[in-house]
Amino acid sequence: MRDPRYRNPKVPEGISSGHDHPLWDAVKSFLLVSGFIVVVVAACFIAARLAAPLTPFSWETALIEKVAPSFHETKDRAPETEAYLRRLAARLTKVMDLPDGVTVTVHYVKGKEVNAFATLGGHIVIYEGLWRKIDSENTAAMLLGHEIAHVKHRDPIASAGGGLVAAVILTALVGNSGFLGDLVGAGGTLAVLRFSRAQEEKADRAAARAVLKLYGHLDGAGDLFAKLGSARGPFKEPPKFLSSHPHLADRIATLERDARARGWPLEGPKTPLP
Amino acid sequence: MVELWIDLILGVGIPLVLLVLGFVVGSWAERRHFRRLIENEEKLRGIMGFAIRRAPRDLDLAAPKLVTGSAVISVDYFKRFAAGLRHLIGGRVGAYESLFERARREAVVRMKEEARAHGADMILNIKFETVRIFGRQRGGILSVEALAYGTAYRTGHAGPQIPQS
Amino acid sequence: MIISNMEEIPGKPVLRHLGVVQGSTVQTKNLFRDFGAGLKNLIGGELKSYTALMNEARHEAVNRMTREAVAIGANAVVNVRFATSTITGGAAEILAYGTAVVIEGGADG
Repeated sequence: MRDPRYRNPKVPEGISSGHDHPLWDAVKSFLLVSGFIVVVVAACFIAARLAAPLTPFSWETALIEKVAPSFHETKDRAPETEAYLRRLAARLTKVMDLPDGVTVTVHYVKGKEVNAFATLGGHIVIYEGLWRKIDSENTAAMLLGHEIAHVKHRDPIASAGGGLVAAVILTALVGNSGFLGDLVGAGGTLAVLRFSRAQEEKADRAAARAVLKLYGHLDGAGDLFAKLGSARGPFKEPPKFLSSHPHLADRIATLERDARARGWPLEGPKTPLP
Repeated sequence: MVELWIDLILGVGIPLVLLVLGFVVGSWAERRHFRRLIENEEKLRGIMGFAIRRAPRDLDLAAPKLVTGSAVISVDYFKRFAAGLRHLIGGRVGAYESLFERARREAVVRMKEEARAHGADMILNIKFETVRIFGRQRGGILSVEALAYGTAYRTGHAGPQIPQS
Repeated sequence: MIISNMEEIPGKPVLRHLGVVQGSTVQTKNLFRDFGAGLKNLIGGELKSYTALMNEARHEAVNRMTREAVAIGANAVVNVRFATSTITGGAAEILAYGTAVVIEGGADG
């Protein structure tokens, strides 16, 4: 017989581990982390949004001069088209009430890209690929008006500032390697896209008002979105939450809804391009 | 647009599949391992283990031998992800707790098996050590080695009771 | 030769203490054995090849410690401890150390 004073009774299971279901635990953590990311990004962007109009425009100009000094010296230029775009932009800026000191410079760049953008310093770039699709001045005015509205709203500096601060904070907290870093980055991006879509909607509205002021009607304005849609080819738009812009069909619908609500004419004589 | 979809599939789709695979296969393997551990522990119940430093004077202890047992267990993709999330918000990392427990209990089982092969029926002064091994700098295989060791004895109460190995 | 991690050998008083003896090995993972580890990285579970690798290394460390003890005329090593430390580049040092002693009755264990 063994010495009864020395025994090893069986220890019940589940004391030392297995308290929470791992899946539930992961889901809980995931929700907490994503909530946190959304809060951080939202705070950064709201702060940047509020700070942007207070930032002197000259800072933007100085910044872009430092980052891309050769911005004005694009090689492939079409001086006539560019001059035309600049004249149209000048007419639009007159009716768009840009804040003091804010200026707009339009650049026309040769290339296949069906794209246009506004960046720091009031620089607006229109690509040849998009320009070729545009067949009336009204549509061109909608496009330029949209980009000028971004400049007017100080969207480039708000996005750049908010994005930078949010990225710095999130990277400091999470690091940027591995799937988790990617995931946090993706979460941040989704939150950023939400802000981007809001900016685009606002820019569309401002552009529509400018077009109305110039031509008295909105005919051709919605064509811009239709042209962009046709340029997309066989690929569908990504789901809304993954898009930097609202869906094109929604942009047309919003435009028409606004027009009806305010009694803006949707039809009228279109001005041809020169 | 195509790039976006490819990015989406590479960046989200593949890790998601790995997560599900890691979770399903990982938890199945974990349950199986626990079942096997309980079974083996039952088989080795005859070999007692104590974490006492000095040999009790009232026991007749013979044939001392250092016995060791170890197990290197790797974390699955899901657990690593769950722990990574946990790491951000702090708190207990439940996903790793079971991992360490499995490794440690497996090590004890192996230590006892060595003791049984030696004809021993008691292990004294059991010590544990847990080390992270061969982990590459970042994002590498996280594996922990649990080591259990102690001194095995044949106890001499009412004649030798040596279980057959 | 008796190897034990206890401070004394029951019933065999220590006659002489001969000091610390140690044995260590530095082990890195083996490329070929590492083959299946990538998969285990996904589904988790025991890395049997690594377990074997560590066991061999520990065995060798104990062997070296024992040889040191024999060389200085001991017939037992007591209070043996293991220490493992991971050093950079995926290598691990496995150390075994203890006190070499001469005990009464010698190694009849």
